[in-house]
Amino acid sequence: MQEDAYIPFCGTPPLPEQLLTSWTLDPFLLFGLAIFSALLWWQAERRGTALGGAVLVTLLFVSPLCAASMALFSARVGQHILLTLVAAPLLAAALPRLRLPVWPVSLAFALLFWGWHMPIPYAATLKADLTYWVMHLSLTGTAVALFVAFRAAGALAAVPAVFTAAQLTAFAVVLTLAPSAWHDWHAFTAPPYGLSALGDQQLAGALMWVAGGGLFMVLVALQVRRLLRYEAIANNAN
Amino acid sequence: MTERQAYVVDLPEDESYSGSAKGEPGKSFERIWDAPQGVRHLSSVSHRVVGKRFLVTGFVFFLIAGFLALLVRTQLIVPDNTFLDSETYNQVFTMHGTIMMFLFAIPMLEGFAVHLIPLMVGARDLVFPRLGAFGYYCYLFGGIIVLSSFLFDAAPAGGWFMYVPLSTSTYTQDLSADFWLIGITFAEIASVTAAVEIIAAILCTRAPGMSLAKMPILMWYLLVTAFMIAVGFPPLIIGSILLEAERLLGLPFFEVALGGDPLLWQHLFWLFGHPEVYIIFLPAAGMVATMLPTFVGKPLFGYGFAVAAVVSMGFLSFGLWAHHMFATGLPVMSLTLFSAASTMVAIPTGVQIFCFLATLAEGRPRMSVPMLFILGFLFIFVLGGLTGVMVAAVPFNLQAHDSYFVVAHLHYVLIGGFVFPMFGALYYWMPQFTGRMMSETLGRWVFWLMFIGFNLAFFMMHLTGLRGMPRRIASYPEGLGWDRLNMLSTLGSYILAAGVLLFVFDFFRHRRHGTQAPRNPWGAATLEWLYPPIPPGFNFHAIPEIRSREPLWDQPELMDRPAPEIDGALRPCTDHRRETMGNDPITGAPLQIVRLPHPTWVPLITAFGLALGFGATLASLYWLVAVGFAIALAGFTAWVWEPSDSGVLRDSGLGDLRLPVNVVDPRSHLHFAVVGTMMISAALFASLLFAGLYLWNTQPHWAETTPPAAPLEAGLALGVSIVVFLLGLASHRAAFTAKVTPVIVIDLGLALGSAALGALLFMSIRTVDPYGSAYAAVGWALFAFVAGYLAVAIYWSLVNALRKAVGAVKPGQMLPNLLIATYAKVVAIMGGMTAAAYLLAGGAA
Repeated sequence: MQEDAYIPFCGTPPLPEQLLTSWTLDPFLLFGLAIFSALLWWQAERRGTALGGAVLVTLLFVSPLCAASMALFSARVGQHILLTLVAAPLLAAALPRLRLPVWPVSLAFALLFWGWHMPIPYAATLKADLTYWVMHLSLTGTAVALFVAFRAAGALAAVPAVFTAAQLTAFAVVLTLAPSAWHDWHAFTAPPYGLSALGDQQLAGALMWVAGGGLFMVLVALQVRRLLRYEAIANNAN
Repeated sequence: MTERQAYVVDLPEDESYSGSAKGEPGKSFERIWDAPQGVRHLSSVSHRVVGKRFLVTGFVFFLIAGFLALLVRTQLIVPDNTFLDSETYNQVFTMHGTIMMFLFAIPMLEGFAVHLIPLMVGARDLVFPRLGAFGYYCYLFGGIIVLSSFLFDAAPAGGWFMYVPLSTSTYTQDLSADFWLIGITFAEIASVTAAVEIIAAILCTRAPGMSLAKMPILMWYLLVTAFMIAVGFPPLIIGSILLEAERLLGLPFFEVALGGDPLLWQHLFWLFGHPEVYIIFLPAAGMVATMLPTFVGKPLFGYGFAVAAVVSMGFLSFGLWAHHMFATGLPVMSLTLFSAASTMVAIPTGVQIFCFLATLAEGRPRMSVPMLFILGFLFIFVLGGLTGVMVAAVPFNLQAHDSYFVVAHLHYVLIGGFVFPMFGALYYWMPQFTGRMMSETLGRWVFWLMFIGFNLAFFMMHLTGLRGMPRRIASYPEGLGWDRLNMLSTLGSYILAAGVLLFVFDFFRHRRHGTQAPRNPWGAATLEWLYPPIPPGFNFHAIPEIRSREPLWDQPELMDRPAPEIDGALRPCTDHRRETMGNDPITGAPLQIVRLPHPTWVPLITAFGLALGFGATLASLYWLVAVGFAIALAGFTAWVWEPSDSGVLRDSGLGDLRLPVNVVDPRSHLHFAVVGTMMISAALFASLLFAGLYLWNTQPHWAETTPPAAPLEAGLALGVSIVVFLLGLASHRAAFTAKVTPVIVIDLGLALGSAALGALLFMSIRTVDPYGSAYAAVGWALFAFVAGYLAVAIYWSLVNALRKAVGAVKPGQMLPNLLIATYAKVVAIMGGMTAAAYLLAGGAA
């Protein structure tokens, strides 16, 4: 699109018929993922869960979803939902218990999530590999930290969890109801998929609102079950 | 909240740290807990008195709203009926919905909560008895304001959701919408105070040993409901205030010509309205989950699953409001997903229903009257859920929208999900209220009349709706195929009403002739049945230790002796004060002894002052508004001006355990109340921010053309907000120091910082014309909101400083500094966010 023709990390936006063959097999990426998985395996307390998390993270960057996220904002949001609300809780569950301050982490996650999806930072991630990876690492990192903090806080995570759910929903609402498309990038990449850039953005918002909300509900239910079970075990020990 | 040790003064126990500043040494334990008699009964703050008042008042409103429903049905019994003219008809159906939702359902569940929580968790009273009494009076006065609109022939007529622009002053020129907005907002004070009260009572005053996992299931339901009220009511409160400001002051929040958006009202309304349905349903389901095991004789199946389902339902319900707005032109891309989301809620609901069914399958239930109502609930509510799945499908929704099908659906959900369980609960807990049993025979008649009448009335409406009859029409022509169905619906409603009247008759009959209830008449497992009905005024002579979720079934020492002889905590009443046990909210371990207030007029006077203020606003008598709010402020000051009992150590009666009184600790019940209050405040603030964000998003043209707030002052305000936050941190630390006088500096600093923050925010927004655009008006609303909170911060920190200056605070009694710390931190964040919003909104222009 521009003169210097930088190719974004996940490749040029694919057309629908190219999508299924658009795997991202960048050697540096594979190497990085391998190092990450090894570190995780070494540090994890629950290796099964860690494996699940690592496989999901790998799929999110290697599979055609990565390429699709170049063409469709909704695919990018889908990738981020899976990263922050499925992979991150899995990784947090696998890692050893660590006390993190729950409010600062919640605020950091909110700021990063809103910030990285705003027009200017978003465009920046499509202009250099470095910003792309800063974005994903910071987003995933705070998401993992968030769920580590939630686990450690136990029942006290309730109010920060309400806050997190509220801010994610608010973002989804803004996205869904915005009258114009935010990201110029997708103006030409979305139409081959039968979507206008605005329609793509509305889909992204609704996906986050609904699928994100559903996933969060599952996480809340799991956390409550875990708390009650822990307490039952602690009581029986007495 | 850290695991810091409670701060207890490290001094020898001298005169100044023993006893109680407000004890009644002349009175015995029993006399201290007696409810005052005669006119002074109005000064009672006992949870059982207040709870019964909520229940009786709520039921009276139920009868009134039911009567209005009969008027509606009578009007519709034949085509072209002239029984009511269309204006009266509009008033009648609007008031029916309004009263049922706001003045019956919510207060009724508050009544049960207020009455049952202390008995079920092992407390002698609610943790904030005055707040409960205050909430009741706010509800009563608010309800009277709403109802009095009939006297002025200005009853609201715009439907219970008061959509704009119909409810703006252009289209509703009389006072009817003001009656609604002011009266309902006033009554909602009761709901949010109840939320704080329920959260703190359940988390902070449980019996020794009652961990979270050993709480009766109803406590979980009420806890989640309270959190939902705390987060869910603020959008409506903010929406109502904005709409009232538009009507009264002409601010253009919803005025399209000035960049407002009528849909903003719908978003705010349904952001409240959807969770509201669950707020009504969950406590009722909790009561079912409590009664069912009693009649089956087995513990609830899947306690952990039910709890997880309820909590996740609480979260999910806030994401679903858009499905009330399918017909408002939401993006087509999103409709399918909203549709999926709406069906998703069937999962946690289904988990609960299956827990109930599995419990039923564990044994042969005894078919007492409450059990019949539970089965009625299951039958009706499941049908309502099924039609819910139907209207969740967008194509069907657009077809059924605003038709009688929706009327049928919502009544199946609400009457099935709330009214039937509530009647069951009234039969079940009636011995607690009156000491007598209601009639089983008449109860069966009541049930069958209600059940048959209900289904006849409302099942037909599905068909009338599918045949195209729109809701809210005052009459219909003959021959559209609606005649016979409407006739049957009306007959059904009469039968339903007959059932309710029979209940009322039986209520009055049983007060005189009902059999005396024995101890634990239903063979229940939960603590409220420990004493023979009616339990004594103090609930428990000694608060027993709890080792099981079903204490009355699993702990033989509780039932093998007369209740007053049961061992437990706090039997001696050394200081002649009302007292109960305070616990660590999470573990349930004993933490402190909570001193409770004795009867007082303060709640009534304060609520009266507020009622005067609200009523005078309605009458546009602004000097009287000032008088009313001055009375309220004086009331609040008298309320908090209490000598502190912190620093006293007393035997708990549990082995050798000595506990501090009114501990200075983040786990204190008072600190939980502040946290709860700030959660509500944050939700209010977020609702305002949401309004601004929504307008910025959907009306970009206006966001660009509105002149920005002054950036320099906004930047300074941001800086000062950080200072206020740091002062909040300092105040938190100061609460644990032994020196009193130096802390005055922090108090004064907080007052000064808050004043400076308010002034700078004002300087920043000063140049913006609030009448210029809706966007600008929201900017001013943010300022006014934060300014109100800052004014409280100033007043409060000055009171704290004054108390220290006059020597009313001794070392170790600086709990107020801990409380204002949390308050100041949140207010600083709100002020900082407002300043940031001014900067960003200016930058976007």
